[in-house]
Amino acid sequence: MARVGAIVSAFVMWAPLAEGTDDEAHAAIMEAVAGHVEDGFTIREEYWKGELESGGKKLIRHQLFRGNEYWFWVASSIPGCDVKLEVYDANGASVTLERSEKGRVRGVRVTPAQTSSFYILVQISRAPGEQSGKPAVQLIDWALVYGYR
Amino acid sequence: MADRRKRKKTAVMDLSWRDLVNRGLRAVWLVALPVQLQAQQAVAPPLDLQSFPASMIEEVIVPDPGELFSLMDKLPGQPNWDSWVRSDFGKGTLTDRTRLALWFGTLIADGFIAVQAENVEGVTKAGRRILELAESLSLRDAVLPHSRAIIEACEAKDWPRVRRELDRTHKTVREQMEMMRDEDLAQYVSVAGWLRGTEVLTSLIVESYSQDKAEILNQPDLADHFLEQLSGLDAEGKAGEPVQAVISGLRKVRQVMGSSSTASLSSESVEQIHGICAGIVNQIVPK
Repeated sequence: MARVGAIVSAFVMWAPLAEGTDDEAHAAIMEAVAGHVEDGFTIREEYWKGELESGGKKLIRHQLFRGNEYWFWVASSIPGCDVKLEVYDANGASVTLERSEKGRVRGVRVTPAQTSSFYILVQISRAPGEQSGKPAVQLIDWALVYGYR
Repeated sequence: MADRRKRKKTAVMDLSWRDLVNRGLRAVWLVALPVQLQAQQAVAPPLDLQSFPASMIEEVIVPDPGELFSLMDKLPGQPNWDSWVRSDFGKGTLTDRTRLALWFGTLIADGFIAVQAENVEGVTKAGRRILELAESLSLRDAVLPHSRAIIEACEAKDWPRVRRELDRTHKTVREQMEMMRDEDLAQYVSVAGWLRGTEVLTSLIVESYSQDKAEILNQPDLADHFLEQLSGLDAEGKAGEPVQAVISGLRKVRQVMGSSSTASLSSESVEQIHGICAGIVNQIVPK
């Protein structure tokens, strides 16, 4: 029994761990974007979420419509992470117009020049020095929300 | 006395001058800061999309009908949304869950159409029908709060809140279906909503055609996404008549939409897409 316990402990210690939850990240975004709702933005209920290793990237393809104004917001529940967000057109050129930063939430504003698919890049890194004393691989949760008007 | 007055005046002048300089510098700094930040923002290097492994591309979030409908209101020519508000939202009772899910998807889109028309009766009826269908799908408890919120917000003519609740209803239903291991049904809800939205949108575009309006239909990647999702479903599900009609119709829509790099569709192409979508929705909604 003790051996099983030791194996389980070893597995738990070395398996990729995720602190926090993407629900917390989502809640942080929803709190941060309340002002945009007052400004006429519709915040979508559906959102993207997941986990990344530190330094990992996620690319999301998404349909945007010319004539709409969009804000995308990303956050992690883990404080101190370096979160990067960028929106690109189909040629890989950045279309980000403006950035915002509120607590742990990062946002970018986009007004697409054409109706088409665009690519949203999320990149998250743990703050330098955060790794010490923790298992080698830790997953960082994230959530990405968008709104339009 | 005169010296004291002179010193005081000079001191006041000095103070004002310093104050002015300080304020000026502060103003320059405040003006320069956003410019600096913008300059930093503007130079994000290009991204080589081809170098990204396919596994990094995430799931597609389908735009809600309101996202497309609101564009029509921004373009010249007032779309007649009211003409597309259903007087009834389908009759009869179905037991087949696939058909129910497809019907449910069209109902969500119908809710958005009634909101666009700011038609209180239409939204209320849609809200009630949504709840009835949710009951048939064993999702009554999950949908009831949304249905109530839709009707309440509609009575208060709080249209943004109605839109939000319709979006929430869609999300709740999708999540519940996925929890019940009915992922296929969740896909049917999404695709049917998109088809009903496209049916109405195309009709309104044809009524007062412009290239700007037709550009809204530049969604070949979404059509591809739906086709990919539906072709991945189990054989039994696909064998059903309505699903076959959806798949075959989607293929035709995709063909008319052409490649994503093409310019706006012609009026004839828009009309063609309308005919295809209307045919599918006609098969989905029971008479």
